[in-house]
Formats: sequence, structure tokens, C-alpha cells
Amino acid sequence: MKACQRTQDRLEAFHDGELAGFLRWRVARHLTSCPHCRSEVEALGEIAEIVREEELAATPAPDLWAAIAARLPAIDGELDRRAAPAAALRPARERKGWAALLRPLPIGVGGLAAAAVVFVLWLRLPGPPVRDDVVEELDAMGRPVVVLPSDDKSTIIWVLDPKPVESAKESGLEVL
Amino acid sequence: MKFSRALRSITALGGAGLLLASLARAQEPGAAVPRTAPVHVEVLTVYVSARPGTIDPAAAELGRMLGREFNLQTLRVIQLQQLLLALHQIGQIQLPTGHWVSVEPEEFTPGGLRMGVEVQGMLRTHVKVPSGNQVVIGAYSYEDGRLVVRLAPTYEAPMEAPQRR
Repeated sequence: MKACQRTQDRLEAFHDGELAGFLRWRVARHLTSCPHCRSEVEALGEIAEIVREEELAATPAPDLWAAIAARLPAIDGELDRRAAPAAALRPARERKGWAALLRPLPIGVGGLAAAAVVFVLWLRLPGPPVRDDVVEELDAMGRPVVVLPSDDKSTIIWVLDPKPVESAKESGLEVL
Repeated sequence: MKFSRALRSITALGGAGLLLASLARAQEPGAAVPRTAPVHVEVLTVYVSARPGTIDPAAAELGRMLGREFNLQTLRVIQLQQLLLALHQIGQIQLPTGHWVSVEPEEFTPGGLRMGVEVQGMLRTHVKVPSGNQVVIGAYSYEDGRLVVRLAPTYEAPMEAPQRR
């Protein structure tokens, strides 16, 4: 059972060819005697195959830009005629399922999506620089907080007060 | 007479057995040595402000330390409390704003005493503080400045359990 647990942590690396030497040999040896882990490796292989196929499907056709350029005047015309039915402008959205999401996106939309992803990641970045040898966990209940290692023996945890008095704001003690 | 002698023998044998069992348990490898010495946590609450004023000499060292980080010109000691806490015992002090500060020594680690600290409604944290070191928390606004709470635990170095090979 323990061998199974240890091996399962390494199955993905084994499948991806990232294990070498003794570790690879140990996993391979375990797979010969464990149908459960073997089936997991096979499942990993199937997933990889699906991903590879979808990647191929999502590869833009060589003449993609030419096709888009040819359609641009028509789309401009549609935009000018604001009374036109909205449905006429979005034939691509009629595709259903995940395959529609995997279709190549126009550069502008892709750029916007990438910007959105970067923005979301930026929002999710941990706020305070935590000095992890002293501060193990920190929950400032949504407030900004800063951890300052002041000297060898002192650590400052400075939480900003949500309702500071005006004079405190002026004093600079709220500015961090 | 015979019954009384037999009873005494049984009692003596039972007592000896219990003694041997407790000795054997105390010498088990990795058996934790009970630690009864409490942790002493000094909790100093001060008011600080950038308004011109004086630094209370009773907390001059804290004033110098904070002065390196902030524009600090006034520091006044509000209260100094000494908490004597066993592990997992929660000590509390109340700030002038009415909020409670709770401290719970949780575990002795190689990096210091692991403590849970809560400033009511503002902060929950776990810190690892060696004996003689301190954690300073900038807490609620108060008057025209801030309240600052300094926690400084002191304790004896935890005893190592005897290792048998």
C-alpha cells in the first residue's frame, strides 16, 4: 500500500519520461505487479493522446489570416448597420461544446484573454511579504498587511486599520 | 491471620508491578518528557503617533525600533502585562479600544515557540518566536495614532527526550 502511494506520486513524471535511473526502475518494477497503478499510467497515456489531438485541432490553418482579412469588410458593414440582427454577427458562437473553445481565436480576442489571465493572476498574488521563519500563517481579514523583519530579534506585523482616524492618516502611520 | 498475610503479599506484588510498569514506560524510546514550566509572555501595549511628542523612556527600545520603520515622534506606554501560560492555555488582554488580544503558546519547535495570536476583528496569525525575541503588531487606530502590541515570550529551552539505541 505504501509502495503504491509512493509510486502514484511519481506516475506522472514516469509517464512524461522525467524519471531516470533507479527511480524509473523502481516505478517500472512496481507497475509490473500493480494493476491499479498500471491502469493509471494507461489513463495518463489516453489523456495525453486527447490533449495532443486537441492541440492539433487548435493549430491555426495556414490560410487563417487570409480568411479573416477577406471577411473583415463584411463584418465592418454589419457593424455599420446597427439595426442588423445580432445573431448575424456571431456565427462562430453557434458551435457547441468544448471543441468551440479550442478553435483558434482571433489575435485581438486572444490578447484580451491573455491580459485577463495576467490580471487575475496578479490579483491572486499574495499581498504581504511574509517572513516565513517567524510568521507561519497570517490572516488579516482582508486588510492590507506588511511583515517587516526589523532586526535579528524583532518582527513587525503592521495591519492597516480599515477606519483610521483622519489625523492618523495625516501622520503617515497609515501609509505603508 | 493467613488471609491477612495473603492480602499483604498481593498488595505488595501489585504495587511492585505498577512501579515497574511506570518505570518501563518512562524509558520508552521517544517518550515525551512532560514539560510543566510555563511560558512567560510579556504583552506591552503602546500608543504611537507621528505627532510631535515624547517617547516614553519605559519603551525607548521599542520606540527606536519602530522609528527605523515609521515616522514616529510620540510613544506612550498604555499597559504592560505579564502572562504566565501553559501550552494551549489562552491568555487575553484588552486594548483601550475594547478589542481583545489573545495569545496561545502551542508548541516548542526548533525555531522557537509556536504561538497563535489573534487581535480581535483584525488579525489571526501563527508565529514562531525564540525566547527573548519579540513580535510587534500594529493594531487599531487610537486617538490620532495607532495602538501597537509587543509580544515577547521567554521560556526555558525545552528538554530533549532521552534517546535509546
